[in-house]
Amino acid sequence: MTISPPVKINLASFDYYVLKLSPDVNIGQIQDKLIHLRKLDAFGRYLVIEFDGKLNHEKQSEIVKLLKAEAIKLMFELKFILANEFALVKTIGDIPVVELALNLKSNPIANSVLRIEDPIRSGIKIENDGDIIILNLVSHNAEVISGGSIHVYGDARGRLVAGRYGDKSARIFVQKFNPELISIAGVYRALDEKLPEHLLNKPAQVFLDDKDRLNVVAL
Amino acid sequence: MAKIVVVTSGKGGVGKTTTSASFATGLALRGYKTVVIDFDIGLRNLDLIMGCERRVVYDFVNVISGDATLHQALIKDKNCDNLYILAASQTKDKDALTEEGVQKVLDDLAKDFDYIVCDSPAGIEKGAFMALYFADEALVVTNPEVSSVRDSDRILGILSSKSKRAVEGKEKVKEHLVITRYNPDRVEAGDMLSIQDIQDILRIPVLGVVPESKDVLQASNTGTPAINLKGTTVSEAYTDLIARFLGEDKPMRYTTAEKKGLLKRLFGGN
Repeated sequence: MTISPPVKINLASFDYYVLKLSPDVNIGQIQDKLIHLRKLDAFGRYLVIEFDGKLNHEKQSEIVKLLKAEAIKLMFELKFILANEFALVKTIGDIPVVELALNLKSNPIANSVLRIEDPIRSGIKIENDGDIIILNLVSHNAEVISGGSIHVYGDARGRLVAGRYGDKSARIFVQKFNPELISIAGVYRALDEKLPEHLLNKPAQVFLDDKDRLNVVAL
Repeated sequence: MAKIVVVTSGKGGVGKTTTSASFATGLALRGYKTVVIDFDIGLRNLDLIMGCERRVVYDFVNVISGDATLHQALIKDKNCDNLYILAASQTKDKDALTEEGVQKVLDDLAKDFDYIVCDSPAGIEKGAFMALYFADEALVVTNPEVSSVRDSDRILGILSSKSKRAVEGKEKVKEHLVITRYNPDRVEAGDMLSIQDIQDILRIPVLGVVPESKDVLQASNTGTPAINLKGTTVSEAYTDLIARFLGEDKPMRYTTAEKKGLLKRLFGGN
């Protein structure tokens, strides 16, 4: 769990770079790659590192360490993620490569599901690019922000933001519905007034209809 | 190995210092060697409530900065052999609390004591953060009132995400709820949140419920921890709380409205 700066309810795009590494990669190649990345203005972006299957764990962590050290030397702000072998990768030239993944749907990292079993307390913010499943309560003033759908199997009293990158098919499913704010793909509503009896603390779902209006219906 | 217990709440004025003083005294009375530390640098209160403000020569910040040894700064309680107080500084600010400094003091205390009670300041600034960072267990003090409960929820969030145990991925800080200033009559009249309401929001086990009482004010004005005012409801409630903390099974007392007899209803009185 992290506590981070305020939410941007609707972030238009998300992209990252994938760096594929083969077993015989050397430090010079990594340096070249990082310089190349810097030219691409990859500041603050995620760098997904994909290893060729033949690399063992020791070698992998060694390379990650090396990457981090080199990135720091180049005054580079990169966040690293280790991908699985499904990541989208293309090659440029003979060296392992950089590719901008634009399609969120086919993006394995973005679609990974986050499951949380502890209560989400006031002031805590949970973010995930894929779906978020919460098996406990979401307190008042807690924020749950998902690129996909949100499922809460408990009391939902905080702010629920689904489809943050604009996915209009995202939905919010709640076991005990009483959130402060709901949002799907940037369309939001603060639930200031007391909810009707058939919804208050009852199972409910939220979705966008074809006119981009938020709908809350009992389940 | 000493257990570090933080007494915290988020909101101010809910009874953290009163609870710290009585909790530490109660543990000491049960025979555990206990030290209570005031983390409210700049606004010290604990020494007043413990009745030792005139004996504070060196304080917590002096020990951290190396101006005094722990031995010089620890004040022995006048009533209780097993109890020591480490007072806060009135003249320094919260920046004097460094992580390494606090860690070293706690490590040194851990060699000699069974329990280290950290009395947290209000808020979520550095002093409060330092008080809870090293905790093994936490007493979250809350009043039966919405803003207090909400702040306690916030503190519970910080405990589960930013404490040392959370950062290092160790077993969670054990959380206990202490409800103070509880007035069953006002709960019944609907002016106050009930124990049930509070638990519904916070979802952590209740360690003790301390009734609202004028004895608390008297205790702090005379520099006596409330647990030492024998025969009062507050003293009894804190004694029960200690017993539960040490694993004993005690039913909750003073949590239901008293049935008033005809005479009492006619003539009032408390």
